[in-house]
Amino acid sequence: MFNFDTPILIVDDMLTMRKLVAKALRGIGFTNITDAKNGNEAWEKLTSAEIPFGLVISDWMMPDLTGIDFLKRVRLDPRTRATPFLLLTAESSKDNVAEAVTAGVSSYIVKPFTPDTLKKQLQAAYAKHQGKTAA
Amino acid sequence: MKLLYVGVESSFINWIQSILEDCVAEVIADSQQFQNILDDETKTFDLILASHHTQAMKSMPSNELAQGLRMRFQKTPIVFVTQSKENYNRAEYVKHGFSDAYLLPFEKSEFLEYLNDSVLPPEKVYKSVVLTDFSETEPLPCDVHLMLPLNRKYVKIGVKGGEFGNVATDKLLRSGTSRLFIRKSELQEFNAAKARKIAQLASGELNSTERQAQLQSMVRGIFTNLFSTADETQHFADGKSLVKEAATIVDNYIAGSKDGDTFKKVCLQIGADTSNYSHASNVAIFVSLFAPALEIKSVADLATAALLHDLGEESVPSEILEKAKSELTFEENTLYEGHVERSLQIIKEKRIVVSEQIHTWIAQHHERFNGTGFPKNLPGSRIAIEAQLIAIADEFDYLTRAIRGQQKLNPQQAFKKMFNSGYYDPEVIKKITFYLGLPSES
Repeated sequence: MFNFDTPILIVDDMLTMRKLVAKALRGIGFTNITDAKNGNEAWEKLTSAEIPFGLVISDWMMPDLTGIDFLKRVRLDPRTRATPFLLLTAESSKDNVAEAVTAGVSSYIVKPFTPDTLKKQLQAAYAKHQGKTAA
Repeated sequence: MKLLYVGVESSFINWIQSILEDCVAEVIADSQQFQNILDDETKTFDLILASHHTQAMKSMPSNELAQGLRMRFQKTPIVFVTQSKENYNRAEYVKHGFSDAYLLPFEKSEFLEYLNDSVLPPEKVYKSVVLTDFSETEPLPCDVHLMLPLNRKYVKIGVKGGEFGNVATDKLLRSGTSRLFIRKSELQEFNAAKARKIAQLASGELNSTERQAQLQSMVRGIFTNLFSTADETQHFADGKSLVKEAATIVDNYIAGSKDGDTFKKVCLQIGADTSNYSHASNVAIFVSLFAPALEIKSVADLATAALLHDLGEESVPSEILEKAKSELTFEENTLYEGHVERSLQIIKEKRIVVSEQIHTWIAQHHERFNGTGFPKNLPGSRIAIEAQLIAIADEFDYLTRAIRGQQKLNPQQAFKKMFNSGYYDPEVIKKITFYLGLPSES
């Protein structure tokens, strides 16, 4: 599992969701949480952080830059390519999961979710990340 | 009961509070209070009603409202209510995370039905029933009550296993009401007993005249139950439970009849996977109830055709289905009208084995008595009576439910509209309304 002081970036256009996800993360034990309200702001924070973010949790459906397009941008840039990336998706977007996997998502969660589900998907993302870095 | 109101205006809150006895309400009117309730892990509620009524909540998108509440209250029923038809899309609200959504006041009776079915404990909810299907000396399948109109209290007048004898009849007459009620928790038993009665009719123990009379009485009883509400406004309550009850009775009747096996198999094959199953199921119920009026014997086949008639709509985009036919462009109309042929193709693709006549009825279900239907513009005389019945049941279902914010009609209004439209044989409409015991308005 990720260290609890791993810097995490939450990206969601809805303030309510940013707060709920942050609360769930804090409930698990994470302490270093930053948020952004859209993909462009998130990119700015991701690439200018003094201490690189160890995990990005992004909503799928956002105006201007969707979560999937943000993921593709993250994967294209050598500075951020290896950052674990978790997508939050609504039930109806499950069919688009294949697109997310192709784009390089570490894991995804269907909303609404419980803190336990979040924890399991974080573990899955971490395991996948460990597998890649070991290689 | 504990209720949470989020962004709901006070007049609506007062209305709900007057309906739900003994409930405690918490009211949230702005986004800060909304965030506070999401943070408070100690709060639990039996029902959450959310809206954009209050000015402060108008700026919060409905998906944020839904997802925020759903993340915090994972198992609580959360219902969105609105008075604005603009952008109202029930499917979208449910997709976002609401348990359901209601456009008021159009869907008032559906909303009340939802409260009855999903929120109130079954032993506190009473359903109106018809007891004419049971003789006075037959044991009652459950306790029977009457409602005193002045204070809306329920009084037991018949006991499960006992007879509905003279004493109970006297009480009913003195009460000044003719309606009887049973507890919702006992509805399944009541319907099972009713289904057994219908099966007895089907087995032919009575002579033909007696059987026809009893069948008509039972059909009228089922129809009355479908359209009865506590305030007697006689609107179709979308309550899946009410339709399910009628379906249980009708299914038992059909399944026990000749060709009932085909109906059962088709039910299993298409199941609830198809997007339009609710409508198809309703049409199957209505054709089953209307068929005796025309002395149609092949009720099971008719119900099967009704289940399958709009399978092809799955390939028509929902934005086209939601438009009135007169608003469709030429291309959209072609796509829409193609659903008839597509339904027949799907039956073939899914290897649903049905008779040739069922194929014919499905192929003709959009033909119109005045020759203006599709796909072949057949005149009334060349449209199979069964196809005409499916067309009537099809339209009847749409007219008696609140679709896209339109004012829904009661059964009399629906039949009157169809009678006057010219699309349906007026003699058929007359026979159906007479059989169902509906007052004639035309």
